Amino acid sequence: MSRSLRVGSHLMLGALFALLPLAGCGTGSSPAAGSADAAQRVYVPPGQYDEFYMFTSGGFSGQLGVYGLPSGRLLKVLPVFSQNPENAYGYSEETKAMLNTSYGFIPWDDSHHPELSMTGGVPDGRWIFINGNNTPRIARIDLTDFQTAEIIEIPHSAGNHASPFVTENTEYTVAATRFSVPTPQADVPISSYKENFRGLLTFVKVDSASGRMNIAFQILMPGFNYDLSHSGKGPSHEWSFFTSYNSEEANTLLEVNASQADKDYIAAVHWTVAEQCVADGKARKIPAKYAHNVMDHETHVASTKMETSTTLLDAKDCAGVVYYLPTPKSPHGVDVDPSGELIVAGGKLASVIPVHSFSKMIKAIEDKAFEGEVGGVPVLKYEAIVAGEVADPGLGPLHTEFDGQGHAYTSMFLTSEITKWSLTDFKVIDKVPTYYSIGHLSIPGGDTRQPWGKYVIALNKITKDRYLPTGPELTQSAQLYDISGEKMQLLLDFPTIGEPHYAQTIPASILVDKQIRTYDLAENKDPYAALSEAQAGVTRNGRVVHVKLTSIRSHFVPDNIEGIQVGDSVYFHVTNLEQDWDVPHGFAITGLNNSELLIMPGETRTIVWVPERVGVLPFYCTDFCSALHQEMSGWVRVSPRGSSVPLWANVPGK
Amino acid sequence: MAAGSDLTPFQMENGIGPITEAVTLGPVNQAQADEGKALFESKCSACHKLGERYVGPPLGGILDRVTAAFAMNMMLNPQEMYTRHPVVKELLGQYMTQMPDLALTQEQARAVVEYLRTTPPPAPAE
Repeated sequence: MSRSLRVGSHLMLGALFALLPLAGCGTGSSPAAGSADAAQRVYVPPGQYDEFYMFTSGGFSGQLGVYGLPSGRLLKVLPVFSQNPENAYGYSEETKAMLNTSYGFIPWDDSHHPELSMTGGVPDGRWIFINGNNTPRIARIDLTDFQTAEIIEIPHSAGNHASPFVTENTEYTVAATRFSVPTPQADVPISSYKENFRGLLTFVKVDSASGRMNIAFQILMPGFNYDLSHSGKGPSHEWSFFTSYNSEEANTLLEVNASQADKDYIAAVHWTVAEQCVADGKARKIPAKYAHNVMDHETHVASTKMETSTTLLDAKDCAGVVYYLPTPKSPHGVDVDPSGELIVAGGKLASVIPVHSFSKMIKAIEDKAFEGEVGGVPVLKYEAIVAGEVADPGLGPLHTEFDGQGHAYTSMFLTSEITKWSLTDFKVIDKVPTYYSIGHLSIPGGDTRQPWGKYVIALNKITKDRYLPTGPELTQSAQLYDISGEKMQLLLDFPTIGEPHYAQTIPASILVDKQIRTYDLAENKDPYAALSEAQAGVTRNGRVVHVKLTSIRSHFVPDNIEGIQVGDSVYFHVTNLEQDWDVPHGFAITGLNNSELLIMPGETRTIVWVPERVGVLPFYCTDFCSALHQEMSGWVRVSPRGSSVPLWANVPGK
Repeated sequence: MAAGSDLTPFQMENGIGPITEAVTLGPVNQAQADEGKALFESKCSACHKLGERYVGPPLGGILDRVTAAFAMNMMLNPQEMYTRHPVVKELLGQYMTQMPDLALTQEQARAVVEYLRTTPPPAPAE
């Protein structure tokens, strides 16, 4: 307690003063975020910007969190795989198609790994990708407006975890099966796993101009659980690496039965060889059904195309496309150092961190230093490819990132710590505790050719006693450590939305100037847009009524609507006429069995309402927009079915 | 300089913003006025009528009441006009709603001025 009070005596820390004594009391044994010095280093004065954007996966929320660093301030929860009634994502007519799949409309997924697009192995700030783990999908988010622009489903796959890691120039984003399944799907006994179940590594081509994704090919693999991935860089540019576990091919009680072998494998995929095999006709088209959802850049309306086939390349039909690197034990993360030479595996049940050498791997392939093969895939000799092992790193190594200064940082789940080690001699340099049960960690640019370094962020699964309790469900957390010195230093921890698995962090300077402030009204191509009040109005087509509304501070046109009947499907198409930054308008009406709308300046959004009782119901703007926001409202008169009240709306000049 | 104001006489007369020199008006350029009319209808008419008060003040014949530079600065830089110009501050008190930034270019604002030159002033109140 006295330590916290000393912190509080620092003049600039008024806001923190109230919090620190509680943190100190609650945790007892763990050090508070340290010192006034630590607090100063995360303090961003009111009105000033953070230095970095951090994108965190929302985990079981299905979304993407956007935070500022070093302050840890939450800037936005960006909807990706889950409906968001706050802004009608997945509810509005324009956005519903984004959540279509071959299984129908799915309002949720489990998002794990944000991955920034790269050029030359460095994040270019164009897009960020994130995987949907449950119903396999990859989403692409446009970083000029922080909106989900595209979602593609991955057919024949299951448990899309090793995704969406990109190659060095975003030639591809990848996907893989964490849960092998019959491929293609079939009604077979689960006990026939070894016979019928297979893994798939999917390469999705990314168009360099538009970002548009298309599945290029799927590589059929032995039925292991392909867990995580990273692509090569520099000398290893043409390769992607996937960890696997359950090389035992167990189909029950995996926690025991998939933990038998001393080593599992990293699959090293030479994707340019795969391209050549496809070009040479060694792959085959197979039927598939998968949704490809795209938000049209001009109309801002999403549509779904149901695709019908993919290109399947059996690894055993394409010599040189895949090699297995034996790796202890049930490896989780696979991370490639900035030089592209070292391939670090997080062998989660291993007592060491194995580090493979890319150049030794190439030599071993040339020398045919194989210890055998599995399912047609050559297995290289461990001794021929290993560059070294990090001894005594802690327990449960999962993920590694790099600072660009010759150091690696590995998260240790079981011992709740980050271990810093040298890429030169593989010796441990420092360890710091995390609170608690760290999963991923993230360094700005930490998986790229040129890390920005400065911080490492721990992404923790368990917080227990770290925050004020909130019933049985507690928040997950991120913790920020300074890594500019020899020793890591904890500066800050803060709660996160959903469960943050991975996070990626990019200097704000790369994104700030790209931000769109409004959509150009003159370019609004929504088929139901009203580009001026004169274009507003109501039309009926049988039981369907279209209401084209405009909104500008502080009124709707029309704001009196009559002639609606019980049971009509009323489409409210609201166009926000504003062309000013940060002036969205909202729309909601009493009894709307749907979400509200939140309409950005220059944009049109549509929500459907089926009135079920007679009366005069108010609608209003839900986003406080001006001094006369309370006046921004209107009424809809709902008459009985078959009423003679004419359809009418008050539009000036009409 | 007006009492209690940090504005120069030019700014008092012509507003604050990107237009820092008086705008000379020649004979009406009809093509420019037509472009201005289209802009007025799409961008301004949601809040302004020519002959009567609506959300904002009536704009018919406005160029008889303010300078072209003032009108343009009001269109191009409303936020600062509301915070610093005493006349505009007073208007805010009357109308209680701020004019949004419509993201017009200087050329577009000039075209709107050209159109407004051709409009008649509102009828005097009874």
